Amino acid sequence: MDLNKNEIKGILEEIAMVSFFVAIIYLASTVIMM
Amino acid sequence: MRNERKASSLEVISYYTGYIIMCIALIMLLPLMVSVFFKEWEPALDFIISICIAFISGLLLMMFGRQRRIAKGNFQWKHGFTIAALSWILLMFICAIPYRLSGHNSSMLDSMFDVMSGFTTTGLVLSQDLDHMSYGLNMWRHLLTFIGGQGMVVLALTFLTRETGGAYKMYVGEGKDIELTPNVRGTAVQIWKISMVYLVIGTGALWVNGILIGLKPVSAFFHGLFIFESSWSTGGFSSMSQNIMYYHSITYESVAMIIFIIGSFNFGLHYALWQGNKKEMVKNIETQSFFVTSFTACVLVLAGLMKYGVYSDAVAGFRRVVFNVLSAHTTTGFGSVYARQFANEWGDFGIMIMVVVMLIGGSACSTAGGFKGLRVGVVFKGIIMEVKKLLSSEHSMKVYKFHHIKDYILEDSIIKSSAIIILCYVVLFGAGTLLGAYYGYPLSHSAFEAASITGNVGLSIGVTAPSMPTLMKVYYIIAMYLARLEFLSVFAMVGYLGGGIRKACQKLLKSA
Repeated sequence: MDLNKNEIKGILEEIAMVSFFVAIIYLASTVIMM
Repeated sequence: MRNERKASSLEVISYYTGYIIMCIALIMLLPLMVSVFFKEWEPALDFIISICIAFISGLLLMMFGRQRRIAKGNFQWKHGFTIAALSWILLMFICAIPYRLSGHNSSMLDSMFDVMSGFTTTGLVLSQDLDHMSYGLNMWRHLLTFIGGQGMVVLALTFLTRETGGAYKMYVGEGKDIELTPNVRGTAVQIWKISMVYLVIGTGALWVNGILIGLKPVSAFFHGLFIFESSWSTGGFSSMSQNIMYYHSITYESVAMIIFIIGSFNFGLHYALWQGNKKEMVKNIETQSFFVTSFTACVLVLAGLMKYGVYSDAVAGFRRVVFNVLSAHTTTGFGSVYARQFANEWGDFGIMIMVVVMLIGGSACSTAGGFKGLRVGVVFKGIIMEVKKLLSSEHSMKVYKFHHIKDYILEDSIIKSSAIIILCYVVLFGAGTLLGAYYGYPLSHSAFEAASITGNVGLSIGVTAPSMPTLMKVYYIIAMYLARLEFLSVFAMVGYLGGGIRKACQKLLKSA
């Protein structure tokens, strides 16, 4: 399966953005639980 | 000389339905190979029997409709919708055979329930003794949910060697309407390419994680593969009865969480990001809707449960609350608390928030279920538009837009069609809740389970069990099916079949 540079970059960005969102929710839950 | 007569509707439908069944017969070779690899001879025999039945059924249907091959240009929308809806029903029977032969289900109805749950990426199970299920059958369960997420028609189209006139109509009939490339076969191939790339990445990440938490390499691989298939297709199946709790690992849960959030996104969004359009993630009405509603729901449930002191620290709050809320919102259905804990600890406030997020669901043209963020966003923007119109001058003409892969004008017809589909979901949910209440389940429990079924989620509060009333099992199967195909195809199939029966009756009456 061929993946060009753009596609690999897109996959990594998608994973990074979702991970960032999960991290924000984790931080929010920490603040609420304090 | 070739027969040039036009193929009848029945022949067209028969040919393509048979084609889709033949594709599934081929897919059954995978669990057969897994069974042979692990020397599970009894499950292997179950699959050989099932493959034979599927192959013969598919072949008979294709032979009946063989006229289709020489007839061109008579593929109509009603054919596409009927093929999509009918193939799901026939496949439910055929794919249930390995389940029933395995002895993990006490009846064929339970087996069909599990198959429909898999196909529709719901994730509720009636199979018993999951912890001792063969690798082959587990492979089959998870493959069903993985294929169901992408769509059986999409799968069949990927294997088609040439473009057919009716391909797009079948594709739309399965509840998908995004066009990634100019032709529908190219779109089907792109959908599978995206899924297969994430299959490699996700399974790899879960495999390494599984080894780190103490699973043996081969076992860790299959656990990783099964959890990926369930996460990506927002299914919620697991090979263990404890579901995701079996792994006792925050990293394992976090990786699964990232996969199921990505899996709940529109294939058009994946494609846009892969093409370098990274602003789409922020601009898209669906992701905006998802981020707002999921964040709000997490905060509300956390605040509600903190009031009762259910979870004492942030890690517990994150693993038990955030995980379950996101699992519900993306319609995945992995549960990190037991069904009874929802009932006994979360209280009515927590349960009602879960009901709302389960009904909203993920993105359109993704593996997720529910109303879909797109429709919620469109209706919400429609309300704002109406309020603004009321407040603005009678002479001002303003065009309202929303962004979903590209800019669309927010027309009344779009708002109306979104509202109608949402209304259908609400009716389905209401009827399910009433049915549960009729059989004596508490109202909040009935609502939770009905939302889980309607949104194709898979979380349970304890209502779904082999001992539940038969009528509820049948209703749940129909509800999962209707919700997954987004009503239209099933209504078209019922209308088409009803029309056919009426014509046949009229002919009989005339001849009599």
